[in-house]
Amino acid sequence: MTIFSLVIFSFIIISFNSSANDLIKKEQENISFSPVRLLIPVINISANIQTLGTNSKGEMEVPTNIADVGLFKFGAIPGRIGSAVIAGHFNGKNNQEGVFFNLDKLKVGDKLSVEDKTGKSITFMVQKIELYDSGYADNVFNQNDGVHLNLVTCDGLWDEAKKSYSKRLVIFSDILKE
Amino acid sequence: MDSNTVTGPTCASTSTASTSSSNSEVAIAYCPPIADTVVTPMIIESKRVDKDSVYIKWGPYSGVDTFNVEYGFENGKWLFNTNVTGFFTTINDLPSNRPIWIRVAARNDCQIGVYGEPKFVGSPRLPNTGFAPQKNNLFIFINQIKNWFL
Repeated sequence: MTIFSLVIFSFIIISFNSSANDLIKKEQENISFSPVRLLIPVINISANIQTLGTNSKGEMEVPTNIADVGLFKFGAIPGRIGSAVIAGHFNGKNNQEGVFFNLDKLKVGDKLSVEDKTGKSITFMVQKIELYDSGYADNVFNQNDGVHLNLVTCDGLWDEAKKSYSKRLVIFSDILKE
Repeated sequence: MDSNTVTGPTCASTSTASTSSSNSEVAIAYCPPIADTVVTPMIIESKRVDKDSVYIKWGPYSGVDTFNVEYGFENGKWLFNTNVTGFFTTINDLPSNRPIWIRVAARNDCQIGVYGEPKFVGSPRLPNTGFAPQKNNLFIFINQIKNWFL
């Protein structure tokens, strides 16, 4: 009985160490990861990733064209602990559909991925979909309890006075554990 | 803790020695460590105050009200620190609209305790990724109708 218990205990310790080591290894691999493309097959998105900071209004900047998306450069890098945030246009000046025009078609459980220039990719799964008022939304940017990738675009009604849509659609996704 | 961080104890020494010509009497100034009962502080509220300031509040109270606050632009690179008495502070003179990472530890005159979980503070407003819809665009119009009913 004692030997049997020892064997089981050793097995548990080895398994725990192995999975902890895998996680550490994965995190170390992701440190050098630099995403250049966002892929969301379910809504036919394959977009170049720009890097974005903040503008003079204190807003996250937006991509310079409606085909690309933009990663918030002061936040987490996709694949590392924290909230990486990617924004994309809902529409263009002449009403063309922006890269995230169909973002509202995503559903919980859908997969998306980011890819670096070598073709290495990290896959995420949609966890929840929420609408926010325009303005501050700290929890979109600052969750440190996992490896998150959040997508943002405009939604709601156009406010001519503010030159902005009334809402922001946020897709929260978490890294897919293989 | 990052070895580059300048957060050494403000107490110059934990003991002082003095000698006199008559004897070699040694006076020890006792400097108490952070008590085991002190809970590692956790940031419970944070917000941007204006373009170059952020506000943070932490807790819980567990017997001390003096803290060291470290912050920087990357998690793990603690470029700045400040001592605070109380449970909240506003950090000013930051680069415009730049978020920062912050962590807090209890401190006394001699020692800094364990830092709590770092927090990303001062995130920007959500981006404005849309343009005015054109009235003749059916898709945009349908999308607006849909939103009226949500």
